[in-house]
Amino acid sequence: MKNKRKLIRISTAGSVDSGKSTLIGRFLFDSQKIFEDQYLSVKNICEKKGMDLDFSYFLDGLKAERDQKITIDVAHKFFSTKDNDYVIYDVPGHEQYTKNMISGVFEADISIIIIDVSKGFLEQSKRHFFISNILKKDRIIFCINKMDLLSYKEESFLKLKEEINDFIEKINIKNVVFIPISASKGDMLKNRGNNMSWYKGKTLFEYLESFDESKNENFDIRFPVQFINKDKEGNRLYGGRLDSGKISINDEVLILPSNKKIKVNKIVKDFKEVENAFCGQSISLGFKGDYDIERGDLISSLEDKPFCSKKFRIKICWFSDKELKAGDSFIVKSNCRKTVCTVEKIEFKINFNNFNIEKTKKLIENDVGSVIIKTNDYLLGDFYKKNKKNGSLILIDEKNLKTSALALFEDLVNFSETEIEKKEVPIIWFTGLSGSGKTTMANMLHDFLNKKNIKNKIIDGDLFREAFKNQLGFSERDRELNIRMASFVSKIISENGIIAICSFVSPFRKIREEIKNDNPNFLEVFCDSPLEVCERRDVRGLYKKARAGEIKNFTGISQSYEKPLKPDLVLNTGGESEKKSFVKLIKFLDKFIY
Amino acid sequence: MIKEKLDNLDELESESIYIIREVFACAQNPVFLYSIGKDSSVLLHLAKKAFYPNKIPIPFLHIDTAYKFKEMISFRDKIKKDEFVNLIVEKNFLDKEEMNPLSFGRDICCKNLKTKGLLGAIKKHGFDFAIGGARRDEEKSRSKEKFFSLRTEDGFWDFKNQSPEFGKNYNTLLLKNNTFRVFPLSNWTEINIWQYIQRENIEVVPLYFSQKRKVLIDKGLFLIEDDFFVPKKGEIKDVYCRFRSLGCSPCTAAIESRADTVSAIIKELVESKKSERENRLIDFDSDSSMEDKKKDGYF
Repeated sequence: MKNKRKLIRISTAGSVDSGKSTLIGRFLFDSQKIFEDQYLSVKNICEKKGMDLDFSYFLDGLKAERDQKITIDVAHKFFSTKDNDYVIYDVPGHEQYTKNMISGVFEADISIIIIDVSKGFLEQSKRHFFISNILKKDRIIFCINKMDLLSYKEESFLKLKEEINDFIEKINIKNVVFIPISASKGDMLKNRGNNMSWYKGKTLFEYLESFDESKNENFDIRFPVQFINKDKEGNRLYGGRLDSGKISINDEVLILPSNKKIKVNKIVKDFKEVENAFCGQSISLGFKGDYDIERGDLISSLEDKPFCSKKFRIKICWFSDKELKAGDSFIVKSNCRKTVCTVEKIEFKINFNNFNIEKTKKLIENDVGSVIIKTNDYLLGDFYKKNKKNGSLILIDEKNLKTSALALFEDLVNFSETEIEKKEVPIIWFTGLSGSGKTTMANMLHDFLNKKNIKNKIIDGDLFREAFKNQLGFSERDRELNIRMASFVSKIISENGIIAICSFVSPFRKIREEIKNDNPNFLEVFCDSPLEVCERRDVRGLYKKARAGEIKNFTGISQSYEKPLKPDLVLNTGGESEKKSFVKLIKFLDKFIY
Repeated sequence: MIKEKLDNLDELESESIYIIREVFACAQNPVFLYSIGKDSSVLLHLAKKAFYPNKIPIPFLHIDTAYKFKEMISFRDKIKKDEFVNLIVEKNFLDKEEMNPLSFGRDICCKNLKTKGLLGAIKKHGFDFAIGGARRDEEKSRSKEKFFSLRTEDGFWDFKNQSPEFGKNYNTLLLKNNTFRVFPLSNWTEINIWQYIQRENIEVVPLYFSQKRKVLIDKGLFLIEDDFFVPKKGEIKDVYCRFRSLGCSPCTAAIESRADTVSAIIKELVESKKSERENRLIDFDSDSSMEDKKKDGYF
């Protein structure tokens, strides 16, 4: 049986002067898609401007693009071979137009990255690769171009190949295809040419023509309901496109989110009823029985269901010139569903120079990162890795209604997990002499937070020592150990959304600095009360005992207290009223506690 | 066998139907723009499939400039009788002396008759989504089009500000007074259109097929005799010719051809070295004719 003619979509990306236009010009010329009248009109323009024939004139469709000699938006070009039809999504290389690059690569089946062999792996190409890798995985071809300018030497090809491989191995990518080509001379495109007999792999055309999408095909039934129609008898028909799988009359399927089992009793395709429908076809389905099914509901196979959730970790490509921050909200569209989402947390972004992950609290235009969102209504779909057709969503700005981001479903997020995670709560650490008012302040704060229903926990130095059965003394070493354990416990508590209120004499600056550096949410509050005042108060008679020599290493008497140099807050607990200190404390904490 | 592979036409067809249905699901008051040409014939066929077994729930709109070929108008009137189709005709007639391409120039004539007529009709009916049969392979500025292309209140196309598109999740949201132009046939080529016309047995205006016609040869272009045709000096001859694309009669020339069947046309196109709009005089006025027209609101 003769193979069916396929429609193959390819994207082409290259940095400035990589020879991308020449390569596409070749595709079109070789398949006779540049016509005489177009050719003459371009030749005419180029001659008028005193230039050689410039292929970009065939490709960049808009005046502004031709004038600046850059690609701004995706240009769609078409050619065909004996066996297949091709659409080229010719994408821009400039970072400024990343959104259009991503759009073209997203639509394509195969991503071609064109690199000038003499220029190396430039940042623009790294960006192209990284985006292609997220979206296309194993369908990336590096065309190492301008081989003719380096006398077609194998060494120069291998050197660049190695440079790229070294780089991408860092993110665990292997088996990327490299083809040495000369776009201007035509080597290794349609024909092998006579100049690179050392290269034994496929030519670019051989790769394209042997493309087989079925390798990665997913067989689960996925049919998002697009609109509701009626048949001649008035029964409801549900229109949509079968994203994956095969559906047949009498199949038992699941309707989501209602999770009911139903039976297919009608499949309409073209102008007739059919027995089966296949992946990719736009059809209408009818079901046995009366069910309430709406646009955006999803028909699925009984096994291997899609997810149905309101909270996701998404990989996001951010396009808007506004910054993306936690708390921002957007309109979401995914699989015929529209709802509103709120960004709960920005987890990290990618650095395109080294592919490292960087923690961040905001994304700026053209960043790619990981974000957690919560939606008002359920979204139905699959993780992009599992089913590309069903695994993406777009975020739309609520005010100007522009598409602000493309995102891919990565993971579901447990509700309780992030509800706590999203609150980065402080550790409030009171330091000062014994009797300086630390415990008083801590208790007042504790009561205040309880009244506001804010979770908190007091970790008191004395209680802490008791808990450890007084195994620790007051020597420098024991004090250090005690503080370290207190810091460890308070960190765990605060990471779980509970404010840790710690009151510890903690006399040593070095160790306080150390735990401060260890924890970004650490707030050092210095209860600054002179020794005389504390000693006069002597609530528990400790100073008396220390003076009598009954307690050794007592801070202020027999051991020094090292005042903080840059505390987050100083409370004058020796000179002012408790109330005044407390008001000052609450005012200060206002921006840290929600 | 668990799957059946879609061929190139199946895939284009399914993509177009998906977009037509998406418009129906998301628009308040959508319309198809009907130009009577082959692309419109394909679009209409796809719309029938999209909503079968029902009538097409979106009306078709034809802007009549009074300069269309007679055979186009009679073809349109036949379509009007199709029970699956609701076809609205908006006439944008001006006196021949008041507006014609010969004395005012093609650009001005186009702007006044086509563009103004279209924008006026869209405003009059309050259409928010206008679906057209334009394809990306027709002309270089069209290669930049999105499936859902945003227009401001006065029809302006701001190509630098287009929302990028990602597969099936189209952004179909509109601010007040903005409208969408939607192009379900974006990824079809001229040959795909004819292959599909052949496969689906779709009827098109007979002007597409070769026959012996009386033509005026003007600077190498074949202009055929028509009611509106004002003969100028030139050689008049009988030649076998056909039209590769159709527009207003004074501005659309025929090409010399013997292709009198769909398969002969496909064969001719495969071998052709000329572009589809070679016979459209309006495209050759400057380096960016079509782009400028599109910015003004031309389809």
